[in-house]
Amino acid sequence: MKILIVDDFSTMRRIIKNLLKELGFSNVSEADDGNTALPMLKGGGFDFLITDWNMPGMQGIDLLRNVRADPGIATLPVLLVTAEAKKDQIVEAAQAGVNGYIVKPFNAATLKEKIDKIFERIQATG
Amino acid sequence: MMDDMDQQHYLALARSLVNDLERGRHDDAERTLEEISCLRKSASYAALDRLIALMDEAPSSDTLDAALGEILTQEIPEIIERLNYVDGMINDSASKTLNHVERCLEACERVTADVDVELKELKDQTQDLRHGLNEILIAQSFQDLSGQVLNRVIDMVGGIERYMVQLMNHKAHDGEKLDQGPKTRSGEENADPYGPRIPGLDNPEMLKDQEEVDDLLSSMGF
Repeated sequence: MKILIVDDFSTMRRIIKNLLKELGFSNVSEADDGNTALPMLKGGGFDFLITDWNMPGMQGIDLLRNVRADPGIATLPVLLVTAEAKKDQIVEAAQAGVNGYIVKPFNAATLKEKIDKIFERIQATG
Repeated sequence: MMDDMDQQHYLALARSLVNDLERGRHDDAERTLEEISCLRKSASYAALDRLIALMDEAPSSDTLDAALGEILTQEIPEIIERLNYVDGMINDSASKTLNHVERCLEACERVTADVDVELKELKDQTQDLRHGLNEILIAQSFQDLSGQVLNRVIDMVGGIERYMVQLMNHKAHDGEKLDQGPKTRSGEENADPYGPRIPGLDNPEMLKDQEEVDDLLSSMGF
């Protein structure tokens, strides 16, 4: 499974990358905002996207919308990991088709739980 | 700010300082330096006096009063609350990091002390080590959150600064159009990024933790 992590803070990308390694996912790439991430995703080969919301350049919510609008990658599972926690934002992300929403600060157990849940649901429906 | 008279005075003193130093008259040079520093002090006080006089003369128009009122009652307290939050977060994270590092070091000691330790035990101790190191790792997420808050504070202070500059220009070129107030992100639309939740700032729109986020999502059929 190939995973793309998108966050403008390299500390957070490294944290998520290491936690994913603990969970057995070692094929991980990184991008620092939506503008860098989108061409990588369109290039193909990614099975899962983990993205921050608030980034300079293209924000996470717009990256999610772009993914859903592109027939080639529209079904890609997307997990938002962000400090943004306004009700309206969570509703907005859900309506844009997010698969999971983790609010920072989070712990390793939460990340595992949400990833497991996303893939359980995909297996159940697919 | 330096007016022409100050500038002439500075130049004369600087020339005499060079002159004194070239001729080895150290006592005279010392006195000249003293005089320069006095002049500098009085020049900056004069600039401050001019600023205060300008503020006193400021028109008591509603826009100006409202804008200044907002700076004093909303912007500044919000800045202080945000900085306090960052301070607390950095403190908590550092202490967590130290706790876990100490536990890792203890585990290392146990491994090296018991050379003839059972293989199973060695495996458990290594597992403890891995767990501790991962806790250290995730504790560093404070850098992301505090970084976001600090960027926002810098943005807010920048807005206040720009407004103050505008205020001064308004006084200098009487009647230049004034904006509503310092532009910061706190007044923006709901859907725009807000940054990490600050416990001391009352924002009823913001959910408290992952549990509340999960509840909201499951109420939407997630």
